[in-house]
Amino acid sequence: MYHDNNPYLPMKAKIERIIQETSSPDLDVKTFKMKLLGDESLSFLPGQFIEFSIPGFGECPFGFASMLQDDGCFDITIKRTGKVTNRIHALDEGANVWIRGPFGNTFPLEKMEGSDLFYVAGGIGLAPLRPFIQYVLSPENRKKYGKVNMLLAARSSTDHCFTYDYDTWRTIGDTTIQQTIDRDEPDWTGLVGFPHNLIKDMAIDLSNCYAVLCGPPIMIKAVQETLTDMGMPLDRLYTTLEMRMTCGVGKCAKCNIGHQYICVDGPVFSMAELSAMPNEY
Amino acid sequence: MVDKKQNVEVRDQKSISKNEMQGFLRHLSTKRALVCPVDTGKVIEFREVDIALLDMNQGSILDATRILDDHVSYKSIKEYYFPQTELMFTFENDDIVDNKDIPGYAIFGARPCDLEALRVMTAVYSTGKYADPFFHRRFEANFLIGIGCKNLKPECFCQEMGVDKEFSDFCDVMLTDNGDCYIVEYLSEKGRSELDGYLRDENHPLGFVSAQNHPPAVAGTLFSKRANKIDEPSPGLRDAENAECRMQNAEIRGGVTGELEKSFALDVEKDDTEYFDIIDWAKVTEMCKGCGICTYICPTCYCFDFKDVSKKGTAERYKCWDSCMYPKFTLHASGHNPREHRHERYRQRVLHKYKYVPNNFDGVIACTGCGRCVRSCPVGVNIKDILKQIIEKNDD
Ligand SMILES: Cc1cc2nc3c(=O)[nH]c(=O)nc-3n(C[C@H](O)[C@H](O)[C@H](O)COP(=O)(O)OP(=O)(O)OC[C@H]3O[C@@H](n4cnc5c(N)ncnc54)[C@H](O)[C@@H]3O)c2cc1C
Ligand code: SF4
Ligand code: SF4
Ligand code: FES
Repeated sequence: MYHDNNPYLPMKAKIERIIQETSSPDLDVKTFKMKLLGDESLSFLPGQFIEFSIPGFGECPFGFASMLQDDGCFDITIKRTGKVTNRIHALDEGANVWIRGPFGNTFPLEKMEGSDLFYVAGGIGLAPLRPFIQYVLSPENRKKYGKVNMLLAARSSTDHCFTYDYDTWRTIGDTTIQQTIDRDEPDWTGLVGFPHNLIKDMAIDLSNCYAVLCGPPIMIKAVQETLTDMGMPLDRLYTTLEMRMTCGVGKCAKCNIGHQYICVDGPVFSMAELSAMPNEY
Repeated sequence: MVDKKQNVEVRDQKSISKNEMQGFLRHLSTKRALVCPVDTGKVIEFREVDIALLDMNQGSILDATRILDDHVSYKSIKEYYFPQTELMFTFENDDIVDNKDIPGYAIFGARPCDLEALRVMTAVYSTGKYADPFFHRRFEANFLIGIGCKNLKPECFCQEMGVDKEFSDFCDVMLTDNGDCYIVEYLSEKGRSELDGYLRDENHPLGFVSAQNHPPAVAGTLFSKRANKIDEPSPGLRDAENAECRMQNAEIRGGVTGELEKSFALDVEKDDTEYFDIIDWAKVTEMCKGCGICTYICPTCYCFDFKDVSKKGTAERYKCWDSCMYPKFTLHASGHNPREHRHERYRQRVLHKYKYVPNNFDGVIACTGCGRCVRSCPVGVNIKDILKQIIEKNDD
């Protein structure tokens, strides 16, 4: 699908819709619903990512935040942090942009079949898990998996992403969603506190379960410790990593942890795999 | 020339007199820009040489360049395969234009350490699901002539890295110094087809210009600055068998064909974590300034970054050398940096070369012992000593 076998050449895409997810001063997140232009089509699985270009500004990696939809659209959810993301946030619906991908590995969808799933997400960490959740909850696949539990954390009630999905997800059988915020607020009916302090009280059966964690490193570490305490083996805990990247295809040598390249060997790893890697991420 | 077995089949020997270099290089320059080692006044570097201009001024290639010296250049030939900055493509009027305008160079006189470094780059850039198209295009476009080293220079440790100082087959043509001539070996079809045509003398029974047609080279004069008004009318290769070169050639090289034992290899079977704290990295890099020179002059360092440049209505994207010795290399947008400290970055440099690349690419070590980083480090950080320490600890 690459022009002249050149994996650095991006393809043209169009932004169809923009959704403002959160807008706290230090957490400005938008979802860009986009599709490839021309005859080329994109085929990807949960966990993979694209490189998103703004000519003259640069290129950044972002995970897919949805499965491919029937109209050919997919979502990319972006937190405004710096040069390129500022520029992306300034785009309007209808704008043309450039992307290349899909890159990286995927969540082990088949291996997890027959098990319960426990998603723990912090803030925008829900974005890379969302295509995975959509995949599991889709009518074709729902039967292949057991119970689905989610613990979705955000700093405040306005910082939760994809809130418009939750009601739909809840109507699908054997699915629970708990939301938590760091400090209590008036009218808040969800949980309060950091995820690792809440898990024990959630009474989730972890005996035949895979837990998938994504969020700030400190959250992942604390949740992992709690789940390990509760008896979950490391090879049943999964996460997706971020490292600084340039090429996305294992050539620029920027994203390695030990001999593994996060852009090709990752970004999805089990905690068992991570524990064998140098602690340099 | 990528496949070793294939190389052996193509290998073929001739010889060329040192007196005939001007004609030989003139021939090379007909198709591609000629690149030779030259003395810049400060260092020896591979630079483009305009032989037509030289001819016009009746200059001698032996005066203008350092092609006959047994030297190691300050920088390697890396930039002719992976330039410091290279235009990849242009965003133009809502379209994108791939840069296929890749110049071909005829590079004369690359040393075995640099040729083996190209083998490393080829492994990294051209294997796996994706290939780097820019490296690949240059690789195809260039014509590469190697020369074996007669002597080790201070800080060279190619032998410890399994690199034969006198020979590498990772080129189109390899030359071995044999007094007044070079033994010439074709190591690729490109090498054979582009030189054979030039060297063939249709009237000669063997098809090659014979040794007798050429005045014997006088070794002493070749290196002198004055005796070089050579403008041979019909330069050519001699058949090595006639010139007794082949036997001497084997003797000179002691039968070694680039298969030395790598005495500085780390154990790829071990986990990365076993090497991570094997020595006190902070102590061995105490003096490091983080200047990054060691990565820029290294023939195998291949890291890059993309940089955009806006021009009126268009934007260009470049592939540029980057360095793991700089903190920005791994800095996240959040401010988090997995390699915040200098010794962590140096550890990355060493383990990447000796552990991670071998793990990923079939044992290929991303250091050929050229010694450049040792020679050029302003504060004397010595990768060879550091490796020795690691290997000693490893053996305990
Ligand atoms: C596999 C992967 C998936 C990601 N998914 C998402 C996502 O779904 N949503 C989201 O908001 N963010 C995601 N990120 C992080 C996102 O790439 C960075 O926030 C973004 O690159 C910041 O760019 P900037 O120009 O705004 O920041 P600046 O600080 O101005 O960065 C300048 C340049 O640094 C590089 N860079 C800086 N930080 C990172 C980083 N963490 N990762 C890679 N390159 C970086 C980029 O090349 C960028 O152009 C992901 C990162 C990775 C590696
Ligand atoms: S050349 Fe020496 S001082 Fe400079 S970064 Fe390399 S090791 Fe450090
Ligand atoms: S690490 Fe040093 S000795 Fe090894 S190839 Fe690079 S510059 Fe040469
Ligand atoms: S981003 Fe270039 S090697 Fe991973």
